[in-house]
Amino acid sequence: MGDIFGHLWEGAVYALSAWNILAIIIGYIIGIIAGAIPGVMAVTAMVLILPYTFTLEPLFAIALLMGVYKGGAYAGSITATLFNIPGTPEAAATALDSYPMFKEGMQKRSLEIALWASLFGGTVSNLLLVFTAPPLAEVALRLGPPEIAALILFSLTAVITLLGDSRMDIWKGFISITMGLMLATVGLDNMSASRRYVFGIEDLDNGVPFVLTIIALLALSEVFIQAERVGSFTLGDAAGAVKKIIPYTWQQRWADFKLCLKDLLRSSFVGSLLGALPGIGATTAAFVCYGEARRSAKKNARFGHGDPRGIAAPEAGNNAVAASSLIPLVTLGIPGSVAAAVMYGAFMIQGMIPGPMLMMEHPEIIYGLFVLLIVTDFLGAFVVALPFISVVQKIFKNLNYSLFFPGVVVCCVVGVYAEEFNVFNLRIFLMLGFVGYIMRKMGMSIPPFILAFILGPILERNTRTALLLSGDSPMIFVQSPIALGLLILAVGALVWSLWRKTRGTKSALEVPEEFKH
Amino acid sequence: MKKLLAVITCCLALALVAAPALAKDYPTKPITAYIPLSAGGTTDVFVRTIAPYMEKYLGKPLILVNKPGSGGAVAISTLAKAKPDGYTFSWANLPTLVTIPQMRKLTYNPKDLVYIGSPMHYDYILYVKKGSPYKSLKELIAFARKNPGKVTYGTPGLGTTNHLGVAWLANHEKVKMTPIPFKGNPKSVAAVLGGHVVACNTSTTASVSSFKGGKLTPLAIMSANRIPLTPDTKTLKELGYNFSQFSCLGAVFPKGTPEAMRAKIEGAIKFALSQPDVQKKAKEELYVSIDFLGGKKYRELCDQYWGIWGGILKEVGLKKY
Repeated sequence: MGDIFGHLWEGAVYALSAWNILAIIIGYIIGIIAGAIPGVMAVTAMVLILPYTFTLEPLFAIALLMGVYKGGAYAGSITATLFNIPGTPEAAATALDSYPMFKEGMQKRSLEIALWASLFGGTVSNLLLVFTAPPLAEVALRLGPPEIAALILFSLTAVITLLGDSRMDIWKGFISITMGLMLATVGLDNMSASRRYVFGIEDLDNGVPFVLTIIALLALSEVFIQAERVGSFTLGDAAGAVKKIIPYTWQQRWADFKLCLKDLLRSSFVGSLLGALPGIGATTAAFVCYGEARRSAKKNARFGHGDPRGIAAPEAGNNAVAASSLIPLVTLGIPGSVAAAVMYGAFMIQGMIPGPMLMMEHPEIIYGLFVLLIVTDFLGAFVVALPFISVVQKIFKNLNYSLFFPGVVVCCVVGVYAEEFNVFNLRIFLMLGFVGYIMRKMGMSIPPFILAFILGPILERNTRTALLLSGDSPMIFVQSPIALGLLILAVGALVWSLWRKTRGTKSALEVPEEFKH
Repeated sequence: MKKLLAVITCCLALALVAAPALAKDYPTKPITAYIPLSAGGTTDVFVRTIAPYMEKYLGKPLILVNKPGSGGAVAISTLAKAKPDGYTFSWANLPTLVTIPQMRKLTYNPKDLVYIGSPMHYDYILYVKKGSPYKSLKELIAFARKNPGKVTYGTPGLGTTNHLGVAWLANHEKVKMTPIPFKGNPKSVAAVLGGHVVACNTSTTASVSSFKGGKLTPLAIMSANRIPLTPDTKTLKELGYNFSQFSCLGAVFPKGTPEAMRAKIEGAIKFALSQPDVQKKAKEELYVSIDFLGGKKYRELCDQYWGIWGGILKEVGLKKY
């Protein structure tokens, strides 16, 4: 343990130069802007910056990317709160409660809860990365295809909490899940490379891109919905509804903190664990944490109507993924997420291959990175994010909606195009935007669709890999105690949630109003 | 009428003079080059390492655009539609030109493209986990012979040369081994480390860290030559097999690009490879082997491997076209 502190000190001495701190701040600003603009992902920004790091100093480059990464992880919640348009997919779960809270005039409160929860989750996960990376990596390695498949199945049951209460709403939710799973199968099947549902269109071989789908369903369809209303409300009305900003006192902050503490802790650990597993990602973590918070809450909770825990849980969860997804990278040299792959590239550009050897040969670099991560969260929150949200609030007061929504569409289109530089993607984007609009009109909720779309391919891949390993024997799922345990939990969670839903007509588990439109 | 004829003749003459002049001055503007993989991988970093020297040779910038997806097919199908004016080319890994077109229907025919040249090839190693009961390739195969299908090996995808290389070996030895496709080399290495598969055939770069960290035992070099990372590990050829797994990075122009332009880019690649710091970075940081092939030789090798890989694809039931 003392060893770690020694390395941390060395790392701090090595990494904390004025230049690197500047790099963090610049990076965080880029990240927060990219993250806050619907359609532009922080990872997209990282990928676009990456080639320019070729000529930069190693730690400056890495600090810069780290800042972008962390800034983006937080900033998605800003637009999710203010417009119900998550800036990044991982903020989709946050919107479920932060937007209703905002509509009640408590925008300061919801923005701040998201920020402090992000800081909390990020810091817990940073500390876990520093102190428990090797054992956590070992756990992550042990989880093979059958265990991951069971874990994903369990995560999918978090969907149930997002469904409505009436029989009709539950059916609609299941249709939404099925559609998400079906859309995820489009393209080359990632195991045997056979074509599925591409109708001879080669551009579809790659499948329907992940980011595009999420932006189309969450942002574009919301713009369509809002566009409908622009005709009916005048500027004065729109501003009038939100101009009464309710202040956020210190007593309230303390009360919210006490209320959310349990969820913050749970989400930080759940997010860190999910982050350490390759390929699961922040969006899933956010939904699972949200689902868990909602499942464990008492019946009188205001989830879906602006419960602070509904903001704190997903934000702590998705920010916890940021650092812990670097665990496989630094301990094994295996990038577990897209962002980690970009970091891997950044190291490689600098002539270093991350992994156990770098940890042994140049601990000052790895620990320097850890110190930078810890510093980034605090520096970002206090120096960049706090002023940023107050500026955003000011701009927001005088916002002209008839200009803002077209602006969102432009940003989305640019973001989608920048992802792969492929015009064909824009067509799918528009189509999916309309699909999302129709779904909302019909009262079908979007988050189950998205969760199914993200988790479906991971579930399929791991199930098929497990069956390949066992020679097609399904027994592999019950032979592993971890897989068996998770499967039992998944079935239990499903049965319990449905039973709780059907019991009594009025329960706390309702679809948030804004998804009913 | 005479006047008109004179004008036309003049124009034609000018055009004739102008065409070679264009080729001689080439390039007069920046050249776009697609990279068929996402930013930050071995191929991407290698291309970005040689690009500045190519720019120096050409006197004009190269605009590098990452176009990942579908095993490189996204980049090449975009390229195939581009104007053959010498201002768009694409980097391509061998499978995009050789194996993928035999596995599925594509909008481009790789045989139509103009092959510029190849700067390097990849190296492949067959690993088992450190402490596994198999100390040599022979032992692994002996076990596979007694237990058909029990030897599982990780690959970065079905139909990749990593898969086909081991499939050739199993076929040659008449044993049954089970390929398990993962999403990329790092995940296939992780599956060996976690004990979920017995072996993996991976490109060097993905395994450097785990190998140096003492977590992997190399059984054989699947590619043609021994490599500096594992100097004592024998190649398949040295172990008595008349086979090596070959895949290289190359550059291609769309159909109909003039020879002079091809030769110019070929020269730029050759020039870049002669730089000491490119060689150092390739060997010490990227773990790829610099091995320049001119356009003609590159094309010949691709044609040769069309047959070799095609044969194995047929045996494993993946050859469709």
